[in-house]
Amino acid sequence: MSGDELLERVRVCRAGGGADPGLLRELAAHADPGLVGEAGRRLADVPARDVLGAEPRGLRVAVAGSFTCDDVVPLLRVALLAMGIDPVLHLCRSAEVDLELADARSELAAFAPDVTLVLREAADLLPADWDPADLAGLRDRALDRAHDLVASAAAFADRSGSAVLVHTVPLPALELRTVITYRGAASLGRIWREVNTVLLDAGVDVDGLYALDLEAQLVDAAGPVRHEGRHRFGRYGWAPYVERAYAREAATFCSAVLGMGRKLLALDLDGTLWGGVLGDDGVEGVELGRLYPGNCYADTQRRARSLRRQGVLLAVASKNDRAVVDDAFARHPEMVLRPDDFVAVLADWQPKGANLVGLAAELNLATSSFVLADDSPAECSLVRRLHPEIAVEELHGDPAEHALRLLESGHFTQLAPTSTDAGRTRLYRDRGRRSRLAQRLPEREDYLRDLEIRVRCGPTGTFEVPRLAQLARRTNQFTTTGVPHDESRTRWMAESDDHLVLAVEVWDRVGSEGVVAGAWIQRRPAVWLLENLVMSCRVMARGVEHTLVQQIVEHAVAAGASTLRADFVATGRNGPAAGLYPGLGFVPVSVDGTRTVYELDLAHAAGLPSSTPDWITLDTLEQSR
Amino acid sequence: MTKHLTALIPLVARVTDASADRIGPDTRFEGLGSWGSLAAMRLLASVEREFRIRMDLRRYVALATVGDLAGEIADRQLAGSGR
Repeated sequence: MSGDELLERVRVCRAGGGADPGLLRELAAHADPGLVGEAGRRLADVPARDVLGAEPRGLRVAVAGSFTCDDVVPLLRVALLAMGIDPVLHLCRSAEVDLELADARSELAAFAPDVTLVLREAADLLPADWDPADLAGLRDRALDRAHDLVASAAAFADRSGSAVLVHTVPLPALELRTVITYRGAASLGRIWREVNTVLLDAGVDVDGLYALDLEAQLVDAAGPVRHEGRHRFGRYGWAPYVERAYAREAATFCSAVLGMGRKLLALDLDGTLWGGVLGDDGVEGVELGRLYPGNCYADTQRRARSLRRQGVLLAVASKNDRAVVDDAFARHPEMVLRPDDFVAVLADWQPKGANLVGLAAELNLATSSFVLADDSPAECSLVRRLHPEIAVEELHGDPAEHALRLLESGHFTQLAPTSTDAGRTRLYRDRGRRSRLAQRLPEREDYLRDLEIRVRCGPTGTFEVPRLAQLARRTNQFTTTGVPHDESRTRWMAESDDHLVLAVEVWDRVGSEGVVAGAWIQRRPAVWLLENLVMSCRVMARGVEHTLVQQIVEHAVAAGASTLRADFVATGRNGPAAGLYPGLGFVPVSVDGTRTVYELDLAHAAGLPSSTPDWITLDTLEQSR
Repeated sequence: MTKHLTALIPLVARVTDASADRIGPDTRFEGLGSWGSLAAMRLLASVEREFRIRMDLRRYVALATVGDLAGEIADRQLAGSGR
């Protein structure tokens, strides 16, 4: 079905046209992540039960990424809905993942997620200025970072009770290619595996923390992990197909958290556990053994046995004569599964769906915990139609791919083995290398102090004009009016004596963030008018905006002005900036539709303490015009 | 170019949730409802996927209309085919 037809079905659902249970399955299987994302975006405002036609399970899922991962959210929605989960999704607006995790007052903490997905890119682990001639130094720093990441995630899991999913981080080709020697590249590769091993170790047994081996998953995916253009333009960490792969895995994780992993696998026989038709070909004639295609069927049997060994119940669901089937299991020398591997052998001529419903009643399980694997499209579609709660894996086509298809949907995923050691997890205690963050209850201010933030706030220089205009154009969230000044206007204002354009540059201990905020001001003798103020979401929640306004206030006071006036226009997307002026003591003097005019009495403000947070050091180096 | 425009319009419609029959060569991206840098990046990804090209981001972000983008896609494909 074409993408636009699927979107049309989404539109019908949105318009109240009735449930469409097959829609999510088709979307979840669709090859184009862009299309699936657009569908997921549109499904955000439709109650899940109106789409699914069944009562879904609710789940609060937070996405906290250190890079732009807005497009992961709709993909996640589709993957979750397809699994019968109705998510409340929260995307952390701040890229300061550690801060979101550490701060008891963060938006993330307030959201109180059941599941927290922590998304990282290589830059979180590799210092920007890493020196290929000092790989030992790199190793120390990268391992420290990895331990810090685990510590902050573990602390959050501990404090919030949320299940937290971290993942191994693929090393971009660009980083690997930066080392030119074979021995050096091997060292870097080893260091990178050590770093990822820290993350995996945490996923083995740290309380509340789980790890997805994304790096290993991507070995099978074609293409670069990130699109360099999107990465450099908008700090997108992942190419769309990686976002898709992650969303699927994360959705599977969510189903495991909810304990929705399926408990019973019903297997067809002819064309599924062996090739050919037992009734026609006889026990000697079916394809099963060491040579293709018999080896494929033998492998499907081995994988099913692996599931049984991990606690999944197996059953036979086949249209066959019971006696012939028993004979085949007893006599065929290459048979991997044996009669005692099955809780039930349903080999008769009854409809499979009805048989499975009977079995569920007998075992006191819900059919929604069943998976049917069958090569017959007709049987599959019949069961899907009559028993939509049963997951159906259609094993048609080349049997070489059957075993993988059976397992890759993650139907049976559980958080931990059901054996006795399942409940035994540890709190994350690292031998002395643990970050300050995790040693005591972390505070946002401590974290920010650790960042050693320095801010330079000065009149815009010639070289900064294009960057500032670009920032204004691209900023949708933290903008006070949503109306950017273009480059020529910015240049004109920067050079005009009646105006002031301030550019804000931010550094932290990792390096420079560059020009990340700006303000466009008209200065009249008594009244200064703040026409627009923008800030990149990369530095949100650091107090940079307060520092900027404080600087404007000080400039205005020094120039003898009595009032600082500021416009705020709600654009529907600039919610993050809405609290800025009122939070700093500005008073609304007029409201006209979406526009609010605020004023600050400068004579009064001059007597107040500075609104520059104490974790920010002002860099007073004057920029020459 | 017309061929590219025909294939491009549904992509623009999907990304912006605008109706395809209201999008033409002169349609300005900035005028489309939910246009912004996130939508621009989504459109970039779907264009590169659909037309099997890699855009030059410097040129892409400077394009103002749907027709401009169709023209740029045509140029890219010609360049890619080793003209």
